[in-house]
Amino acid sequence: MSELKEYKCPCCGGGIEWNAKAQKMKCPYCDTEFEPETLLQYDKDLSKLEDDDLTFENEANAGWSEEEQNKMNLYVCQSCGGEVIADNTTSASSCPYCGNPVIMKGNLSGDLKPDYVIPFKYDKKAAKAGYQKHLSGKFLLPKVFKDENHIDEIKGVYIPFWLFDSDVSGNVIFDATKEIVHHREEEDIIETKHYNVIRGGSVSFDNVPVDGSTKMDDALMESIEPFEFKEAVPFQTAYLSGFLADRYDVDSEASKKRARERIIESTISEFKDTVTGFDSVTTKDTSLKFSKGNVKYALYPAWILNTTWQGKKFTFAMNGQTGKFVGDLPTDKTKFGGLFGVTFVAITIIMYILLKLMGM
Amino acid sequence: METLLISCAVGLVIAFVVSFSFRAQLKSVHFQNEASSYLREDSVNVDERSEYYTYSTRSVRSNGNVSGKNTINAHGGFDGPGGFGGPGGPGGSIGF
Repeated sequence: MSELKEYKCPCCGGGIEWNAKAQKMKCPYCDTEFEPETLLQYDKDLSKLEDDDLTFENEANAGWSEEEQNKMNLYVCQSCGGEVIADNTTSASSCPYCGNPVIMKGNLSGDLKPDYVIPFKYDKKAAKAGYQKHLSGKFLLPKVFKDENHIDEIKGVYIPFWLFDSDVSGNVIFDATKEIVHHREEEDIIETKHYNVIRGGSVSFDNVPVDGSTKMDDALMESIEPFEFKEAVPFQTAYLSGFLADRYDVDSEASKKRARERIIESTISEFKDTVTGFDSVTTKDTSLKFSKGNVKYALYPAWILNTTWQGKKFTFAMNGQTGKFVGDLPTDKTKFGGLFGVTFVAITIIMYILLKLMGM
Repeated sequence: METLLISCAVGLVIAFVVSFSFRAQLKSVHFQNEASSYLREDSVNVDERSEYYTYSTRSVRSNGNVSGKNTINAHGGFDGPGGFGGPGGPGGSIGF
């Protein structure tokens, strides 16, 4: 028994039929016509695509030794539930996430010990300078916000990160277009030619970080990237002296999704960069496979400052390795309205005079 | 009256752009879409490259505006060297 093969329209995805009148394959939904050879090649390319296979293997992590546990204390915030770790020489009194008091909870039994740590390169003085620089030159920042001094509450915190390595291989199909404008007397005809563009190959990634703390805003942590893993050293409790360390509460399994998303986007972007000579390039389909994937657990350094202004919480972070400072700031609504109004009136007057001079 | 309306429209657009560009200075927290900072050096290897023409769409623009719905007028087929793509067009061959 012969098998009926249905071709999908590359334009709209509808089922394509043979059109006897046009002597071509034609989509009954969008009326696009195709040469049979085009559809054969298109179908061949699609059939080569397999479902994405995106898995990581875990690297075996060790737990804390009894001696290490005895040197460390676990504190919990009574207000937000945040948990931080500090060594015996460092007293933790307030939560780095909400500023409320923390109390000692116990030890770290059952927790994984970090594989690596990037030691702080920037001290508290540099963090304060970074904060002042972050506030300067911002016209719409409320003056009162600048004047309220919370800067002494800035804290050095080691943030738990899961680091993902992976080799990625596979194919990406793009829909690329080229526009040709045919000028007529009263109108232009815009012809958009669509091309099926296929790129296949491999890319490798090392130490893609995903923060393992629910208390730490993921966007804030991604904003202070990148971290240079080459400066990471095998973890020793001595590096925690004088700093707090956030306790991870998102495991590596739950963090994989975010690592995958970023790796896939970068792979597509690398392949897309090789597609040239078109007016637009859109991703149509992917068939990617992850291999040699593994996960490490590391502590990365950050200076954190929390402040509340007009009932809204603002969190600032500085990368303790590179000095990159980030944090959204409030807008002075009066200044914003004034700037909008003055610009509107000034431009309107200038435009009116110019148009009148041009005789309009 | 028309002059005043045009002036107001331009004023509104520019005021919008200027105000929101100043406001954008206050935002520095964003998700990173990609992981390009963590690409292994010299690991990008694109060894399969092919592209071919699939279909065309046509639209009509009068007085500087696109008018009406796109009308499809497609011709599927492969490009030969110097074929459909024309001078300066994308390669247009399979498996180059």
